[in-house]
Amino acid sequence: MLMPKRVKHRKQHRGRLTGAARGGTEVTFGDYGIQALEPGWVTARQIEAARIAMTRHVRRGGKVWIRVFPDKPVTKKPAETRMGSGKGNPELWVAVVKPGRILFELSGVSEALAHAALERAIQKLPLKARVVSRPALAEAEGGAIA
Amino acid sequence: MAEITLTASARRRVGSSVARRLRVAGKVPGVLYGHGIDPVALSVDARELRHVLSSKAGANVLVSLDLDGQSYLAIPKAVQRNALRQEIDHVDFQIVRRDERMSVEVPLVLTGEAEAVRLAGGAVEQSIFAIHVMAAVDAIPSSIPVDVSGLAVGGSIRVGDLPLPPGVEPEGDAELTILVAHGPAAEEEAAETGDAPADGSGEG
Repeated sequence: MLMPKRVKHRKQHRGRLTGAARGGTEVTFGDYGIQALEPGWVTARQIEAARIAMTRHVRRGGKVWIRVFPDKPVTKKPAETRMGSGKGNPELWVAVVKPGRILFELSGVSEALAHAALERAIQKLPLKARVVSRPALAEAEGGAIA
Repeated sequence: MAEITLTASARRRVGSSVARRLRVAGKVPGVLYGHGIDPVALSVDARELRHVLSSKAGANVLVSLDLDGQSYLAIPKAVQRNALRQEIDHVDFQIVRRDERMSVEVPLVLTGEAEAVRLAGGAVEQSIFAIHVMAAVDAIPSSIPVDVSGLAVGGSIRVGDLPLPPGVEPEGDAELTILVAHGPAAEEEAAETGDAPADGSGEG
């Protein structure tokens, strides 16, 4: 699973999920991608599950890019613990995702196979998402990008 | 290259709230500049603009911009799109002359099926999807075809290898690799099967 090699601070505040993604909103490396339609935290485990779903559906050929990295630690208190006594221990890593962000990209496979594989990957994610094409490719295919 | 006529109207007021109201009314805010004139804030009809940008000439279409009775020959220099709605948020038009040459970005279109894919079951990995070229304003290609049919495993195509139309010159590094043909991805499959036990141990 993806996680940072080392971090400056072990624990972070939760933060707020407002606004839309400011960068990483276009399919840049591959031909097709998954674009988030709502904000959320995507855990390292969900990213890995989505990647596996995608690569197993494609079987052979194809190249996958993961465009998000889970660099935010999430803490949890142990079960049946009374409140207080400080913040819990880091338990998982998440990527903060805002609407418009491209999460995965895929290339080297047919359009139909790419759509099917990416739809399977979307099922592993905790937020609404859609399959999009690279802008130039979408224009060549007839105008619709989504 | 024949130009497409687009009607625009100048706008006195600028700013985000004015731009937002224009978008709600089905218009796209934009700006016209170039050849020493003061930049003019304008707005164009969103449907007309979409029609112009999806023409055969591609994104580098030559536009005859009819701005409040005066006509300008211009090219859409930058188009900003809303990432979620895919609508055009803003457009920059640059004034051009027919006899000048300018630097534009032209998309690359792959043609044919690579030998590496057809015979060896490999894949073609493309790293550059558009290149900057210097071309006469009325002879800007809509796209540059890249024939990959003769590409064997390990082969690559560079910017310098591209067959460009006469009068069109590439800008930048001619040695830049556009795409590479790979053999079947045996290592990737091995890596994935290697990952599986690690996932299991992580979950436990």
